[in-house]
Amino acid sequence: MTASKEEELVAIRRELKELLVSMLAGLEEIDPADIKDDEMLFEEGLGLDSLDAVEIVALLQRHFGLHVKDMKEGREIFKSIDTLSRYIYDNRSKENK
Amino acid sequence: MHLGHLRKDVSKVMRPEDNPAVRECLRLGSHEAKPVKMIDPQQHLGGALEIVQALNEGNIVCMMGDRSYGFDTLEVPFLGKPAYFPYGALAVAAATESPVVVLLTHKVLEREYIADVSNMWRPIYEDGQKKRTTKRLAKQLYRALRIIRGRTSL
Repeated sequence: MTASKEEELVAIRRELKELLVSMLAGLEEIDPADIKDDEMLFEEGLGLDSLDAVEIVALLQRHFGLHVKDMKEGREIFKSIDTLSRYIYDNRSKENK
Repeated sequence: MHLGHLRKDVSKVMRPEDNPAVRECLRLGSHEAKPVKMIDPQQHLGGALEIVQALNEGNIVCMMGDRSYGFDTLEVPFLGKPAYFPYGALAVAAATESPVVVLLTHKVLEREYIADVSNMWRPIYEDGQKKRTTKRLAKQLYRALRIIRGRTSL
């Protein structure tokens, strides 16, 4: 992995954490910096629910121009901040072409 | 069945085993236009991907306003007492910037129902006031229900 890719991933993770905290009602009291990169977003991790999932899917579209359609792919993408960030990194440039 | 006249695909967020009578009714309508597609809220992410995709394509997603399926509810004063109503449809509409058409029905005779679709809103979250906005929208929704009740002398 090149340094520039890692730097970009760090920036995406930070941006995502800030967006989620500002957007999701259940995370209002959390400092974005306290969210671990590999923390599970749903269930036992941050405890997000299906309405939060709708917000995140809509956020990916509005903010990053990404449309996740594949249900199986979604299972992997929405695991954690890290998996979401990698998906954004890998697909943002593709969709913008 | 009448939604078929709108020439849109219709999805319904509903657990498959919940109501066999409704399921049968939807199956009976399937020969007319396109059958109603079921989105199971118990699947991964509660069907979020399917819901957002359907709305993005300009189609109709139906959600029941009286069943929380174990998700959060909002306390709203209703008929003199606090009641707990689901707000999923409002939250989905706000997140996807979609309009909500409120469909309220009640039975007046054995085979006669009145359906009211006079309420249509575009829920928008006010910056940093998500909880308050959602609660306001839910109150608006259940106020409409009270008005229908008054009109139809339930």
